[in-house]
Amino acid sequence: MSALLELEDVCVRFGGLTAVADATMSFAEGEVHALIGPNGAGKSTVINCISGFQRRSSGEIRLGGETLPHLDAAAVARRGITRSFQTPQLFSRLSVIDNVRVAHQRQRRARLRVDDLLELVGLTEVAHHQAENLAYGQQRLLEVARALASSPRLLLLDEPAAGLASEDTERLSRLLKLIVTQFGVAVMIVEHNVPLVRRVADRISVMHHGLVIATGAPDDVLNDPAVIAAYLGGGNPSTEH
Amino acid sequence: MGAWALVVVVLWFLPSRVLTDYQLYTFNLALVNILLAIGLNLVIGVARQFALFSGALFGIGAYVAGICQVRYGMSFLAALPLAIVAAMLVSAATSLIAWRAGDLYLAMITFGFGEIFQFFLVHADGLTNGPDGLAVPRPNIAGVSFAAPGELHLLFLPLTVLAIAIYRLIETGKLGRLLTALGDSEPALASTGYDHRVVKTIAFAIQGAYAGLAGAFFAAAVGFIDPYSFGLSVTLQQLTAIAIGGLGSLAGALVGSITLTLIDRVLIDFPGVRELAYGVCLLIVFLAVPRGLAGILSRQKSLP
Repeated sequence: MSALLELEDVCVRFGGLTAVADATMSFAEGEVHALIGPNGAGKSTVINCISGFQRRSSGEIRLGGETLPHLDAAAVARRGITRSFQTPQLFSRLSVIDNVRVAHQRQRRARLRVDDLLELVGLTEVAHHQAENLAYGQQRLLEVARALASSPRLLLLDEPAAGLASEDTERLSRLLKLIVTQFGVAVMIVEHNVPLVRRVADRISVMHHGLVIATGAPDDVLNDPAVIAAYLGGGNPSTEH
Repeated sequence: MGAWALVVVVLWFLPSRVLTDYQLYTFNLALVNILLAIGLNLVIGVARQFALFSGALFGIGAYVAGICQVRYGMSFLAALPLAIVAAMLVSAATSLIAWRAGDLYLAMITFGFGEIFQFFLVHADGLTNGPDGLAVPRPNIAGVSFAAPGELHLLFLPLTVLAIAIYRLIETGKLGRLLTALGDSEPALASTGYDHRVVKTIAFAIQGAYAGLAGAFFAAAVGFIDPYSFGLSVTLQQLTAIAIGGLGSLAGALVGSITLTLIDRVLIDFPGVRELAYGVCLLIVFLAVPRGLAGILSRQKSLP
């Protein structure tokens, strides 16, 4: 599996605060790469930085081997990198289906039809409801559907399972597996739900205080003493349900 | 569709036969206000860009149409597209401010633009005839004069209906979806690959076109324009109209601007009372029907 997107020594500083320090990581097509770590570790900043919502202070981002210049969010999206947001950012006055259409109507060769996208995330029945009337979990799933509607090469998901009911989390994990295996999309997921991460991730990176403290296969990373100390706490994560 | 066509035909031919000149004049002003309100509705109600310079754009339309006819001897029909394009270009250029400034800042800057524009109208005597105003000739198309309110009505109504139909196409099409999306979440719109700045400029340009058309109509309907007709009060009146009608809705903009035109006409001899009436209307609507007058219709529709 070749790396689609690579970060090399990426730093993001806000004044005197270093939110992300020398982050180096890569995202491969057909792979789910989970980024975990305590709150404030810099995970969302990494997503913002890749998706063009935050300028990096230094370091390099390469897409398909070529250096990605500082681009605004829309230009990044047009290069096939789409995202969801930590707090759902829906087009609240539009219907569910129109939310997906906004992203879909730009595509000349869309991977999936709008109806199929809604089917995938289980929102077919509420397709014509106004987005702001959706339950919280459904709003998150709609964000995923909208991000997928742009036929992305890299999908960045910022805590997609937060607030999801267990059956929706189940659906999300099946969906993630499907999009990486069927469409070869590279997925980066920031998530606190460790069982979900364990189930879907091919690779895990752990951040703490802006630093990437571990990267590797899920079993290795989740049993790493440094990771347990920084994030997972005393309990053995492998015994979690 | 057929029913709407019938309504339009009736509105086209009937009023000039049954209404008095004064009533027809009011009718024409209502058409002008409708055009202004739907343009403002697109920018504020749909795209949620708080641009407060409708009055200036309206003035650009009126003055460009007037000056083209008075100073350059152009016909009404030749001046009309120029008025539309001029207001459209100025509005699109002003949207560059909205690329960076939002909400209150945008409101303040566009408000300032409106004030400067009015200052310009007063002081550019050579072009605008300053505070004395400009007498604008009545339209004359292929030898047929449209001087009386009833004649102007025959000219204005089809063009206004066309403008409303175009608005409806925009609103229900891909562009309308983008404009709503812009108003709801700029970050989300950007994440779908659309440049929110371009979408803003398009919204402003469309508003400019509607205000330009309204301005040209106004100059023809009244036959006289002066700088004081195009100030902040116009913008506030239109803002009140779309708020009363229901922000973001076409039906709301229509109902609201017709309501305000009527209030305006009834209270024309009581300066100050008019603004008070706007305020009372806003209060009643916000307390009784928060979604606006048009919300009454849709609420009844959704009852089982």
